[in-house]
Amino acid sequence: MWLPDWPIQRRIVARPELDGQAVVLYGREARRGERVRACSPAAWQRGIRPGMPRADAAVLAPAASAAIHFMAHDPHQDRLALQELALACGRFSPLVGLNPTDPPDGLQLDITGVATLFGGEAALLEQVAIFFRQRGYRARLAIAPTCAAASAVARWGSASTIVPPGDLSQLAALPVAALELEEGVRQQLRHLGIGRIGQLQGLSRGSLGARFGRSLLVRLDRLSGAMGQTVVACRPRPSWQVERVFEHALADRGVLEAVLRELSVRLSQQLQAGGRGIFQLEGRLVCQGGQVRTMQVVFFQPAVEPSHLAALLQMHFERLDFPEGVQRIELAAVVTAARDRRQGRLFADSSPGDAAELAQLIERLSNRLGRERVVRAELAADAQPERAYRCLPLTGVPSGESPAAGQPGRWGSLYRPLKLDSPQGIGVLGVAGEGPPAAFFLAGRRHRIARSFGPERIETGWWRGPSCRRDYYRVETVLGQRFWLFRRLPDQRWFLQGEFT
Amino acid sequence: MAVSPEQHQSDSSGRGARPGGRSSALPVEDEARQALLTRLQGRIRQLETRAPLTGSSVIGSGCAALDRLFPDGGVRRGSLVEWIESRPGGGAGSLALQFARQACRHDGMLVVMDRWAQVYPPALAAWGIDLARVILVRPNDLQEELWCWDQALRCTAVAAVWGELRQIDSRAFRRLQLAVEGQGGLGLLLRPAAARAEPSWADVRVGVEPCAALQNRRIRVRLLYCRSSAARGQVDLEWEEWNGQLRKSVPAHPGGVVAGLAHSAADRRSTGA
Repeated sequence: MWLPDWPIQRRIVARPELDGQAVVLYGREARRGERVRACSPAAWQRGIRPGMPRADAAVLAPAASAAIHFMAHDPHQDRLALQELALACGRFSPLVGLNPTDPPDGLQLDITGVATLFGGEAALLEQVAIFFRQRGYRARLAIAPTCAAASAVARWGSASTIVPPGDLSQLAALPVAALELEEGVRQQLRHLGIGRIGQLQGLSRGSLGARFGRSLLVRLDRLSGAMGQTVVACRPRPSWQVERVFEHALADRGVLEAVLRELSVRLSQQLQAGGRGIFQLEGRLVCQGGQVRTMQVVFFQPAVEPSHLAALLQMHFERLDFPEGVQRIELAAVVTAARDRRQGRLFADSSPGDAAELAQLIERLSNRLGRERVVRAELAADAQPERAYRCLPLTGVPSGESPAAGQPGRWGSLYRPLKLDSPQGIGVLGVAGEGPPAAFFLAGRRHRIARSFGPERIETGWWRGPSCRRDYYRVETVLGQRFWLFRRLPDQRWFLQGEFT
Repeated sequence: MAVSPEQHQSDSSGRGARPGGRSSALPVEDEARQALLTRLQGRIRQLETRAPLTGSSVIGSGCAALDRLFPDGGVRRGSLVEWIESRPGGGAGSLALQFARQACRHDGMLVVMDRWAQVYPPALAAWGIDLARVILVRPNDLQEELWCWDQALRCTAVAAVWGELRQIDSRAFRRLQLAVEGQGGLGLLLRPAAARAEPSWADVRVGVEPCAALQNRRIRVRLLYCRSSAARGQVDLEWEEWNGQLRKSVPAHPGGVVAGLAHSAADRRSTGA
C-alpha cells in the first residue's frame, strides 16, 4: 500500500482546510539553507519543486489570496503517524509493517490466509480502501504474492490491482523505476533503452549481474518471489522499557545476572515514577549472531520491587542457554496496571502473611511452568461437558473481576466424574436397543456392566458449528468401578469420557 | 481427639485388628496406666513430627465411620496421606476430596495437581469444593510435578494439596514429607495400585477398593499404615446415590451382598483380574 506524498497527506488530514491549497514542506540542510522537501499538487502547478530554496518558492506566491503554506518538515512525526496507521490496520492482518523505503511512505500487510475472513481478496481490498478513504487518506493498494511486487504495482500499476500467484505478466509491463534502483543503475538502463521490467527478464542473469551489480538481481528476485522478503511487524512499543547494549558480547552468566539486576532497578524506578506495577515482564537477550532469547516473567500482583523482579528474572535466566555472547539486554513491562490495584477475593479472608506467601507460590509456579499452567477454574454455562468450565491464568493480567465465591455445583456429587478425558472410542458388547451396553473393552480388558444410570442426553447448539448429540451413562462394573460412557447419536458409536475416581 | 479402644474395635473387622491387644476391655484400675500410655504415645508422635497435636490439627472427613478408622479420629495436618486405589474408577479420589474439602473449609487454598489435565472442575464443585479457592497446577513432566508438590506443600497459605501422583522415588517422597511436616498443610496423594508394594514416606496409607453393590456406591477402605500407631482396620462405606452423602455401609439384605460378592468373584475369574 502506497500513500503518495505521505508527509503532505498527513498535514492535510490533520488540517482539512489545507486541502487543495499549495502546501510546501521545507527543511534546513547543511550549507544549503532551507530547501523545499515536498509540495502539494497545487504547489507543483505553481512551479515549486523539491530541492528548491525556500526563498525562491516564496516568490512564486503571486497574491495573498492564494498563499503558499510553508511548514517545517518533520520526518519523525511522519513515521509515528504511519506507525499509528499500521497499528490501526491490525484489524485487517496480524502482520502489518512499514514499507522498507527510507523514509517509509506506505504499509505492508501480510494477508496470507486472511482474505477469506473478509470474503475474498477483492472484498478485503475494498474494505481497506474504504478504511483509508474515511480517514481522508489517498491510498493506492495492490495485492501480490510478494511484498516487492505489491509495492511496485501499487506505485506504478493501475489502481487496486490483484496480481494472482505465478502471474508475472503484469509485472513485466511495469517501468524499471518500480525496482527502486540506485540512480547510477537507472541511468545506465535508460542509456541502453531498457524501460520495462519485462525487458530485463529477457536478459541472462549472468550478464545482468556483471553489468549492473548484484542489487539489480536481488530486486528482481524479490519481485518474482525467488528471494524472500519479510514484513517487519510494527508493534506498539511498550512504554516501560530499559536496555543495555554492550560494546563486546558478554558470555559470563555472573556478569549478565548483575546487569539484569541493574536493569530491574532502572525499570522499577521508571514504574515507581509512573505509579505502575508490572503484571508481565519481557526480557530479551540479543546474542551476537542475532539470535534472541526471551524470558516471559509473569506476576500475580502488580510488582514494582526491584529485588522481586530480579528474583523471578533469575529463575528464567537459570534455565536459559545462549549459544553466543550476549550483545544487548532489554527489559520491557508488557502489561502494567496502576499500583493501588490489588487482586481481590482470592485472599479476602486470609492473613496478610498468608496472602504474600500465596502470591509468591503462584508466581513461582507460573514462572516455572508457564502462566497457562497455573490457573483457576470457573464454571461456564455450557451443556457440553468439556466446555462446562474455563481456566483462567492467575498471573500476567490485572484480574477484572474477582472470582465468584462458592459457585455451587450444578450436579449431585456422583453425577460428574472427577477425571475427564477427551472421548476415547471403545468397543461394546450387548447393546439392547437404545440402552447401555452389557460390557465394554478398555485397554484390552473386558468390563462387565452391573448397573447403569442414564441416559442423560446432551445436545449442543447448531450455531456453534458441528453439533454434539450424546447420550451419557454412568455405569458401574461388576467390580464396583464407575465410568462415564456416551453413545454418539449420529453414528451410534460408544466412547469413554470419564472415570469416577 | 482421642478414640477409645472400644470405639475403634467396633469399626475394625477382625482381619485388620491386632490379635488380642488393645481391643480387649481394660479394668478400671488400669485407667491410669492407659492414660500414661496415651500420653507417652503422644509424646513419641511429637518427637517424631515436631508439631504438637492440638484439636484443630486433626481433619475429619465429615463421616464418623471413616474418621474412626484413624487413631487420631481423622488425618493430621502436616501429614502426607496416600490413597491407593486398587482399580481405576474406584473412588479414592472422591474419598480424599472429602478431607481436602474439610481442610480448606475455613481458610487456605486447595492446590489441585493435574499433570495429565484430567481433573474436571465441575466435579470438584459438585463435591462442594469452592472453585474460588482452588489453584489448578499442570506440570509438564515428572520433575516439575515433584517440584510443584514440594512448593505447594511448603506454602503456609495452602491448606491441602490433592492430586494424582503416579510415580515418585523414595528420596523425593521423603522431601515431600519434610515439606508438609514443617508447614502444617495436608498432602493427599492419589496413587495407583502398584504403589502399594513401593516404599513410602507417607504418614498414613489408605487402600480403597470399589465393591459391587445393589444400591448406592460402595467402597471398602483399609488403613494400611499409620505412623507411630499400630492401628489397622477397614470399614465399608457407601455414598448415597441421590445426594452423595458418605456413610457406613449397612448390608440391607445379607443375601443381596453375598450374591453381589459371588457375582464379583465370578467376574474376576472371567476377566482374569
